[in-house]
Amino acid sequence: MSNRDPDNLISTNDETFDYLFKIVLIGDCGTGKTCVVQRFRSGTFIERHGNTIGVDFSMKTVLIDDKKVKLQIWDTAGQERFRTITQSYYRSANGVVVVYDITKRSTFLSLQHWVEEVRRYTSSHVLLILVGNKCDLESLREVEKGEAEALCQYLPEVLQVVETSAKENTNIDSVFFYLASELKRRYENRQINANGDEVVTLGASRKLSSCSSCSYKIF
Amino acid sequence: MSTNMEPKEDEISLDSNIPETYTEMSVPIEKDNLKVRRRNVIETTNFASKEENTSDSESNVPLVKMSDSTKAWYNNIIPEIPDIAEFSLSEPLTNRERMKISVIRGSVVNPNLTLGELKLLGCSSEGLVNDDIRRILWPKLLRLSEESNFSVTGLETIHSHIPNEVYQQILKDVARSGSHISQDATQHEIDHFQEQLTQLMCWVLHKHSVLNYYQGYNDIAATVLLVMGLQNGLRVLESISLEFLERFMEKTMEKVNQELFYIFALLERVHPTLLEHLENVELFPHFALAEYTTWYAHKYAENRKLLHRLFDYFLGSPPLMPLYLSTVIVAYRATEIFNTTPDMGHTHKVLCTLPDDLPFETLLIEAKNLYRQYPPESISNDVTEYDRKRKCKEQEWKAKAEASRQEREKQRQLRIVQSTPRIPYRIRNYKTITVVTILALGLYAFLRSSSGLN
Ligand SMILES: Nc1nc2c(ncn2[C@@H]2O[C@H](COP(=O)(O)OP(=O)(O)OP(=O)(O)O)[C@@H](O)[C@H]2O)c(=O)[nH]1
Ligand SMILES: [Mg+2]
Repeated sequence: MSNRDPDNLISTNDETFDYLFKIVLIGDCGTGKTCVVQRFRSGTFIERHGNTIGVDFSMKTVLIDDKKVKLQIWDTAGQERFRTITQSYYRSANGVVVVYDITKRSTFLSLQHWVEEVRRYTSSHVLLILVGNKCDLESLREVEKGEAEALCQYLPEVLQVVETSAKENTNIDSVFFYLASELKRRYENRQINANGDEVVTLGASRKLSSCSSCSYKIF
Repeated sequence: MSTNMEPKEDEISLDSNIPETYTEMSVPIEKDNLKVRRRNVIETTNFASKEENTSDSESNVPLVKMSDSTKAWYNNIIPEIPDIAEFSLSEPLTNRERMKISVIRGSVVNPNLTLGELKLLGCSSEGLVNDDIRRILWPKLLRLSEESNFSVTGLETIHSHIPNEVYQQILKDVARSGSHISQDATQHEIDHFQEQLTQLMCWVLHKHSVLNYYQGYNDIAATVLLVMGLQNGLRVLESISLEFLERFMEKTMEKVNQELFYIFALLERVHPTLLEHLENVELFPHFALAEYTTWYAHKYAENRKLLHRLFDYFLGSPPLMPLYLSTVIVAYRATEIFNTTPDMGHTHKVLCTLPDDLPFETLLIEAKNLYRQYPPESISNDVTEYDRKRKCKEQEWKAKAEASRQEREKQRQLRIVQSTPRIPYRIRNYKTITVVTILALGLYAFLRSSSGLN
C-alpha cells in the first residue's frame, strides 16, 4: 500500500488511449470487490489485503479491436455507513459491476438495493454487470446461477450475470473485457447516430500537461 | 483536582468487571456524557470550573478532557520506566532515541509533572520511543488509574452480547487484519491474535452501545492490542474510542465527511494554488478518510515503528489533529501532485498512497504549528461552507439522475407507442411542415420588403 505507484506519474505513464471509461464496483462488504480488481489489475490474489475504507482507484488499459480502451476503476467500500461517501463516485460511471458472494445469500438479496442506488445516482446510460464471486467455493454455494439470471429479468439495465473467482482467476478478465467492448460498441453506435449522449471522453486530443484548461469545477 | 478525579476512575474499573449488567443502565447516561465531552473538546481552557458543576450522572465518564495543567500522576504514584537493558528491542536504539529515553526518564520521576508535559513527551521528536515505555505511559496519557488487578473475565463469550450483524462485520474485518502481524507468524499465532482482537473490540462495543463499529476501528484496535496486550488494552481502547473516535462511531459518517473539509479549509490558507488544483480535478478530500479514522493504522500497519510513534503523537493531541497532519502532508507533496495526471482518479490515488520516506518528525511539528495558527474554531465556518457546497452538488447530481431516468422512461414508452399508431411521427411531420411554411413566408416577406426598398 505504501509504495509510490509509478503508473501515476505522467512521465512514466503512456497516456495515449482511444477510449476512456469509468467503472465502479459496488456490493456488500466482503464479497471480494477488492480481490476482483486486484486480480484484474495485477493478476494476483492477495489474502493479506485489508478492507476498503472509502474508495480506491486504479486503472488498466485493455486492447479491443486494436483500440486502446482505458478503464478507470473505482473500488468502493461495502459497509453501509460509507454510503454517504461512496455515492459521490457513482456519478458519471459508464459501467457498474455489482458484486455478490455466491456463498452468502444475504449479499445476493442486497442486489436489488444496490441497483436502486445506481439508478438514484447515475445519469447516463450506465451498463450493469452482476458478478457472483467466489465460485471456487462450490460446496458452500448458497445462490444458484439461475436465480441471479431470473433476477435480471426484472432489472432491465443489467447486461449479464457472470460467476467469477478472484482466487482461481475464473472469468475475471472477461467481466472487464466484456464491459469494455460493450461500452466501446455502444459509444461507436451512438457516434454514428450522432446522438450526443456524452458518455465517453475521447482521449486522443486530451491535453495532460496542465489543468488550467479544465472547465469544470466542483466548488 | 487530581484527587477529585480518583474515585470516578475507580468506579469505572469496578463497572467494567460486570459488563453484563452495565449496558442497560449506561445507555442514557452515556448519551448525556457524549454531549458534555463534545462541548469540552472545544472549550478545554475553562474546564476546571465546569468540572465542579458536574453532576452525579457524569461520574461514569472514564475520560474527560483534562486541562493540561492537571498533574500527570494522581495519588503520587510515579510510574516506573524499565531500564534500557530490559527493553525488548527488535533493532538497536539510535543515539537520538537513547537521548529521548533519558529525557522521558528524567521527566517521569518529577512528581509534579503535568499532563501537558506528559503529552509533550509523546508529541516531541521520537515520541515515547519504545513499546515498553508506551505500555506504561499510554494509560497515563489517557488518564487511566493505576489498577494493577484490573482484569475482565468472560471475554470468550462477549461477542454474544453485541448485535450479530456487527459481530459478523467484525469477523470479516479481523480476518483481513493480517497486515498487522508479522508475515512469518504461525497459524496458531494468527488465530490467537484474531481472537484477541475480536474480544477487545466486542468488549468496548458492548460496554458502550452508543458507539457504532466502523471499518478501520479494527486497525486502531490491532495497534492497541499489539502494544498493550489484551487485558491492558481494554481500557486503553475504550478511552481512545470515547475521547477520539466517537466522532467516527455515530450512526452515519456524515460528520466525518464534513470534517474532512478541514483539509481544504487549511489548504486554502497554506497552499491556495494546490487547493485550486485539487478543486479543478474535482477531488473530494476522501483520500484522507482512512488516515483520519485509523490514525494511519490502515496504511502503516506494516511499519509498526512509525505507526506507534504516530499514536504517541495523536494521544497527546486534540481529536482533529490528524486532519492537520493530512494537510501538512498534502502540502509537502505539492510537486508530486502537480506532476500527476490531472484528473480525479489519479490524484486521489497518489494522495491515498503515502510514501514510506515522509519526514514525519518535521511534518508533526508543522501540523502542531498549523493547529496553533488556525485552530478548528477559527475555520469551522469555512468547513461548513465547503460541506454545504458538497451537499448542493450531490443534490444536483441526484436531480440530474432522476431527470435522466424519467427521460429514459419517457423514451421507452414513446418507443412502445411508436410501434403502433405512429402518432409522434406524424406530429413531427406536421411540425416540419409548419416550420417550413413559416420560413417560406418569412423569406417571401423579406424579399418583398427588400425589393420594395430598392
Ligand atoms: N474463496 C474465495 N475467496 C475470495 C474470493 N475473492 C475474495 N475472497 C475473500 O473474501 C474476502 C473479502 O474480499 P475483499 O476483496 O476484501 O472484499 P470487498 O468486497 O472488497 O470488501 P469491502 O472492501 O469490505 O467492501 C477476502 O478475505 C478474500 O480473501 C474468491 O474468488 N474466492
Ligand atoms: Mg474492498
